[in-house]
Amino acid sequence: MEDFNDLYDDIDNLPLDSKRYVSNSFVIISTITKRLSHLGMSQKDLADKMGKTEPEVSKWLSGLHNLTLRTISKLEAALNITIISPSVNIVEEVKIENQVQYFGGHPVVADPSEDYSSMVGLMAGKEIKFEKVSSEYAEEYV
Amino acid sequence: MSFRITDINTLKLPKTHFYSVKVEENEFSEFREYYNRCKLNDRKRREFAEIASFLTLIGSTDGALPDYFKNEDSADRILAPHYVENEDDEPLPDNYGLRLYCYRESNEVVVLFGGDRKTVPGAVINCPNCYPHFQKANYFSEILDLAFEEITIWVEEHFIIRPEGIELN
Repeated sequence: MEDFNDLYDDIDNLPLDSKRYVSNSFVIISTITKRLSHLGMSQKDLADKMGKTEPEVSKWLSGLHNLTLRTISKLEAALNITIISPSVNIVEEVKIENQVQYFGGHPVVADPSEDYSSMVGLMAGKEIKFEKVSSEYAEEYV
Repeated sequence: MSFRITDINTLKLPKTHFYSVKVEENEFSEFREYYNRCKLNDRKRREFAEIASFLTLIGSTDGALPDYFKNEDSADRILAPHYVENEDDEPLPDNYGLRLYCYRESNEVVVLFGGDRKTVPGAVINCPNCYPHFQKANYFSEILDLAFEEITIWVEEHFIIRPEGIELN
């Protein structure tokens, strides 16, 4: 058996942005194909809905295209899904007073006395955790 | 050209086990040989690691669903996670991404071969870098197809079961 520990190290040592790039690519392909399957739609149906050609859509879903934000937004609209999940950084130093949950992509400030951090939900076909933010940040959404 | 199936210890993942093949007269498996070639160049090395990282996501989450592969005649290839330059990279002339050819047996078992950077758009036959690997991948895949069909080798759960020392050709 060949030893691939060096490859494992290379994967481990990828810059964070590279890791995010790979996981984002994976999530986009995975989310769209699962949604199409859920809706019983083919790539051609999606192409028709978006006014695009089937080869174009096929290229998007084959990892051969660096999708623009505009295209991702059009895909989200056509499939009624969220591909890019809203995310809020947790700032450890800030005292957490309020918590925000997302429903359908919209942040909702929850009861600060409750701990929602263990709750999970489904967004864009993948499991997400509700995230805590500082009250200062949360107020922007109220 | 006789070859045998080899294990890839670090890519035995919960949903998918990845394997490679080693041609009898070669020192390394096809996948190892491809990685060794990529290690000679920093950029290729990073891009190869990104593809390998994509494999770990496949093997850890959904398994090797057909959506993550593209047919290449009898063989398959992994969907490369990048195609055009990112803002930090020097543009390469005629860069159509690194290709990794493979054989997707099921959601649980994938055999990895070699590949290279594709340098022409469209049909792979026009790419001097990739075409030899495409041909080799198809040679291996056709023999693997036959070996599975004739039950010379078979899959149990995530493992390819093959008689010890068996060579395919």
